Amino acid sequence: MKTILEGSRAVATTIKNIAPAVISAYPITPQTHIVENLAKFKADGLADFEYVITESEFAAISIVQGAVATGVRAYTATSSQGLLMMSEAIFNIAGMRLPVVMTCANRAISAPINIYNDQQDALTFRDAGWLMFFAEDVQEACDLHVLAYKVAEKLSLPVMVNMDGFILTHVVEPVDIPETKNIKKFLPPYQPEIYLDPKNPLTLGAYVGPQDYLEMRQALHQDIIDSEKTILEEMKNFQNIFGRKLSMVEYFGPKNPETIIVAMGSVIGTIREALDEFKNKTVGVLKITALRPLADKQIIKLLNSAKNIAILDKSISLGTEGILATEIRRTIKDKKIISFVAGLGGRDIKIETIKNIIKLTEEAKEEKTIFLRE
Amino acid sequence: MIEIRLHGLGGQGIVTAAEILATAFFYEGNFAQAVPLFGVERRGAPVEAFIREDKKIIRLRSQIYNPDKIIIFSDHQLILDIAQIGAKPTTEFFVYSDKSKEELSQKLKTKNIFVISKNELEKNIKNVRVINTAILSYFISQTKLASLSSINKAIKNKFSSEIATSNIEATKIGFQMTKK
Repeated sequence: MKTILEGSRAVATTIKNIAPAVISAYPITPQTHIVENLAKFKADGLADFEYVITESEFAAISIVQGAVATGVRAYTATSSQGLLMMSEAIFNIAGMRLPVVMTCANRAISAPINIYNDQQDALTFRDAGWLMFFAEDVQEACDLHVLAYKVAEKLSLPVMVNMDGFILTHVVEPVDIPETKNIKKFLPPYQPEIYLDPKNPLTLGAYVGPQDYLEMRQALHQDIIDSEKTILEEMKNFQNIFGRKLSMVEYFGPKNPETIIVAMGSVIGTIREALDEFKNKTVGVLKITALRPLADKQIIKLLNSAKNIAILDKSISLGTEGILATEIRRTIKDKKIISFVAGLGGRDIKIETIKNIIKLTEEAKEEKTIFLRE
Repeated sequence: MIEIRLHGLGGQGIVTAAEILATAFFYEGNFAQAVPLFGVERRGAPVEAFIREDKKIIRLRSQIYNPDKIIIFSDHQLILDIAQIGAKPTTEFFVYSDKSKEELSQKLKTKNIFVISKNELEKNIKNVRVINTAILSYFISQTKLASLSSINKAIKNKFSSEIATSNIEATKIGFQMTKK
């Protein structure tokens, strides 16, 4: 049933319905409302999970790591500096193949300190071995969490669900919260084969020497590539049960566009609105929902007809270019790719910004990185 | 699409008012979006919130630069200066103030002003914490953008019954206030 809720409350309600056994979190802007709502559900007797208050994000993610290692479903959420503080455990969780699901309310990284939205926090972790999804709106943020648990538990891979800080965490908009009844149909109880149990002692995350380490990293790499198949299957299952479509990548626009703008997260909405307003017949937009795994073949197919590719990043690999630009460049040959870095530290991306992107892309004689101020 | 901007001071319930108004639009069967202009929350600092209402899904995520309606919860000079940025010739202002319409007209450089009488509201509403919903109900009484029952339903949805009751008493008073 459609209701209207703040994004953070919508995600917290979805997590309550997914019913993890353990939640551990440390509050940080703009993630705060998510974990506040979850703590209140627990305090009001509306949820059964164990809510562990911690003294830091490092403790929160470590508690979640430990909880999942004992064979239960768990949850945490963070942003920016909090995510950085979790980094040691984040890499460990992937290596240990623990199906942790966490939300990152995307926010800029210090210094200079800034609490507003960009995606530098999450993008910095693209090499950590987590699957990474980015939501366009509050509905997708809720739905992607449900999908995330299914995929994570099926493949023993952790998933980070990203939603733009403030823009999605603090917006009040209509949403259909995934109900417990449907979640139960989609997501079976978590019953791993291997878990920590005093009655059956074993070691997880044991020391591995030079003779096996490379193979284990390769296996993780391959499993992330192969996860595309399961994700597509589960997106279909999700649609059958919930009636809403999810895609790893999705194209909106004319059939044979000259220019395609590629982006992730809530800015997709503004781009779609801008293209509608311009009544543009030559420009389309490619939405990347899954950064890991990156659906190379689907992306190549969708970008095939365009001459110019504009990639809009809310992050940068300092000294090179926008991070998504590098990611897409790896899949695409023989096209003019312009990397736009915009929206850093909460700089507003407007319809005029999109107009600028199209103009600068079509005018550009050579590939370059452009920092968009307006 | 109708774009509305709310201005006031931290602690006046601007963000809550935005949420209630958007929820009321939703109850009217429309799409709605409310979002605060993000800041580090401080009592007394300038606060802004944006509301969009449309018959179709709202995808636009940028701030509102040229609002159709502006609701001002504090006539502090700083707020009046910020609030009028980007106003169109047709933009309507709703100002909670005990200043005259002429004086506000001069300060805001427009004649499209509805004055929400601060004296009158404060005389009738003892609980200063519910002034924000009284202002909203005056706003919808003049613009007809939502019904009073939708506003009250949004209030009941948001608050516990005790707080909802005092807000609903306030919206009744705001709704019946005469136009100035």
